[in-house]
Amino acid sequence: MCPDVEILSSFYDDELEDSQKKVIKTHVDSCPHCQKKMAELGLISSAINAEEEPDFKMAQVNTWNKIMNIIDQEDQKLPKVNFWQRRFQISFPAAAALVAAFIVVLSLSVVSFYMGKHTTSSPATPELNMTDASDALLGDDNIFDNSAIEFDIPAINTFIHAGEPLLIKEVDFMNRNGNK
Amino acid sequence: MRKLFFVFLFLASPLMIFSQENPAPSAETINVESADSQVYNMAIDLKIQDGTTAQVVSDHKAQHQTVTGRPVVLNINGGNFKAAVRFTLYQRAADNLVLLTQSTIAFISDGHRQMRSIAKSIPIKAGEKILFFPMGVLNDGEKSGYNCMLEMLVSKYQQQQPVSQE
Repeated sequence: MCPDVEILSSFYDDELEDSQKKVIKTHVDSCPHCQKKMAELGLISSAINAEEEPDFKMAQVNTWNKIMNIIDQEDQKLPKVNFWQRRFQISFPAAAALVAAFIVVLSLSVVSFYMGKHTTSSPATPELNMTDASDALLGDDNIFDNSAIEFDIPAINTFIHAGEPLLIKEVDFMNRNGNK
Repeated sequence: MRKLFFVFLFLASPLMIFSQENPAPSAETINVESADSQVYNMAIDLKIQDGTTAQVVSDHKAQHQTVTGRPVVLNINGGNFKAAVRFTLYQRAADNLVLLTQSTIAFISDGHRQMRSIAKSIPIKAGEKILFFPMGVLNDGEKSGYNCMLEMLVSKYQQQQPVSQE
């Protein structure tokens, strides 16, 4: 009795166990019908192996080219408008937001500008510009610090330079005078 | 993309026009309340004393609030002298201060113009009275002139100064 076609196919593909393989081989060698089946299987197998795989890459490129051609053709149909002549369409909320942002930025800028303008900067330690005694005595008031406290004392001409300027605590000064 | 760029320029243009660096805070903008531990009141009394009679012939008072490290500058315009005096307080410890006094005096003596500059410092405490004689102190034998004396009382600044009622 001849084996099933599936078993013959498995035999052809060398998928059977050794014991089964021996039995089938013995049978096929002696059976012209099974030999014919094996030849058919060989033909089918060779036909499948000979067929080439379809070129998917090429097909992909061709499809993209077609799409791009369509887009180019659509673009050429549209009239070209200069950037400056183009009309902008903006929705009302977006326009309102833009104007509000501009007003906020403008008002902040103006406020910061005036705040900066009305706070004058002055050095931490104002310089004493009194560099020339002659100028000082010629009455040029600008050589003194303008923000200073001014003391105008009566024009008593008998101030004399009695010695080195003295900086002393009142208590010590009283003690010194009391001891004299 | 270009549109966005132009919108950005439009929004940023006021900033470009008005922007400027913030200047350093001036004496008026110093927040004295935030640094109340370093704020002092300086009561200054300029007295002109007759050397012969020891009588005060001229008395000028001024008050000034200052922070440590910031000088109080006085200009004294006398008949034959001018003085620029600068008092600066520095804090050493909680109540201990150093008073730095810098003065430049221009005066006429014996028909000659002279100029003297000094810097002196003294450790003080708040509430102590300090005397400064920019022209020096007349000796006993030189009583014919006038003494120029600055009395200073440094005290801690209090936010609510007592209001004098006349």
